[in-house]
Amino acid sequence: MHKVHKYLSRPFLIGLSVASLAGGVAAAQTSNIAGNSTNTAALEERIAQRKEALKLQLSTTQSQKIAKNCVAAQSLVKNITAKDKITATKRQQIYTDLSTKVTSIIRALQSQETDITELKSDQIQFDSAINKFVSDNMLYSSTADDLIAMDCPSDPAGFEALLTTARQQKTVLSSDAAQIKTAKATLSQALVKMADSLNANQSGAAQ
Amino acid sequence: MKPQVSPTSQEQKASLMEPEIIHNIPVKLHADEIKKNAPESPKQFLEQGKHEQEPDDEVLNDVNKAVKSSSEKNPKRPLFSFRKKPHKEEVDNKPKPIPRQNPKSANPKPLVAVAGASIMAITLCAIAVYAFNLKETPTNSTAKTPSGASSPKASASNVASSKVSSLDLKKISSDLESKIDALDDSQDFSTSTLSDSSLGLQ
Repeated sequence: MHKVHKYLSRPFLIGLSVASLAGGVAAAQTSNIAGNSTNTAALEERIAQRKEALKLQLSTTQSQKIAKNCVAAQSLVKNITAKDKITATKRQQIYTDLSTKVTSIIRALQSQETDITELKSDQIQFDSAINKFVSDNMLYSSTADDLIAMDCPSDPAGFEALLTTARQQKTVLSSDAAQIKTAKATLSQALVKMADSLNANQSGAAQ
Repeated sequence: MKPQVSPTSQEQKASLMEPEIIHNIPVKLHADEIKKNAPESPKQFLEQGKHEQEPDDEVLNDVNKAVKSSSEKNPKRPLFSFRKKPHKEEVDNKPKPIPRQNPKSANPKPLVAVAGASIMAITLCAIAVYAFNLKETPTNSTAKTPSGASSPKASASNVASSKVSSLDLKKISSDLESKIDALDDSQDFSTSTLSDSSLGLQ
């Protein structure tokens, strides 16, 4: 028991806490290193898939040009991607808020035993368009991150493949946003129509 | 004729002759006895005093011995002096501590403290690993899907409980139009930013 008292002294406990923290950080770093190696392998696999899908063939001059300038291009892509992420987040928040309001209104109308068939189908189209935008945005963000992370001087063809894919995905996002606007217009008309119907019912009941 | 002395006065005289001790305190001594006990010289007085003080001296001597022995055991030493190692004989002669009579009835507090310290160490390790991994994993905050099926139930239930009017429907319609039309798709999704000329690859 005297030995136990000796080991319970304050300096020993402090040292034990510090050693535990250091051990935890070391373990986390080890796992992080292992994770990084796994991520590198996955990145190379994705680049290979992109090259296979696009089947790009670069000339020697093009390869040399890309190898020479791709590192600077990567820093520009990093800035562009950061802005795109902020824009996409704001846009997504607006879509989600509006979708939530429409859902709550439809539930309230359903509780009032109103015919909401047409309104509900328009709402489903609106939500589908938003979901497609969200998933395509994830793909674009992933491609942009790979573009920034890869070792472009050693693989100019891979860099060109990813850059081409990023451009295509950004075009898809633009069309998704246009699709959302179309669905919004249809839904808005349906809501106005429902409002007029409710007015007519109320005035008919009053008479 | 001789005056008749009352018996009480005679008795009183006799009592004056003899020392009367009340509560072990001598009340009065006769003059002859005082002379008899008085010391002849100051030296004799001192010696007499010494003899009288002998029992007290013994007590004082005992006290002095006790103080000496304790000071010899723990002598005061200056600040930066080196402590001498005890000799083997002194170590051997040192009285051994008395062992505890009831070792089984030990205080359980140290065991609790050890367990607490172990748990704390494990918790700290886990927190460090979690925090490090959380920092490294990329956040997918943009991966939120619209809440068509998972809308906030509290707000939905509140609206469902109240009756929906045509004004509510028109208000939502106008919100849809204004907020979505305000988004500039051409600027947000322009591919010119990723062109070869923009990235310096030409």
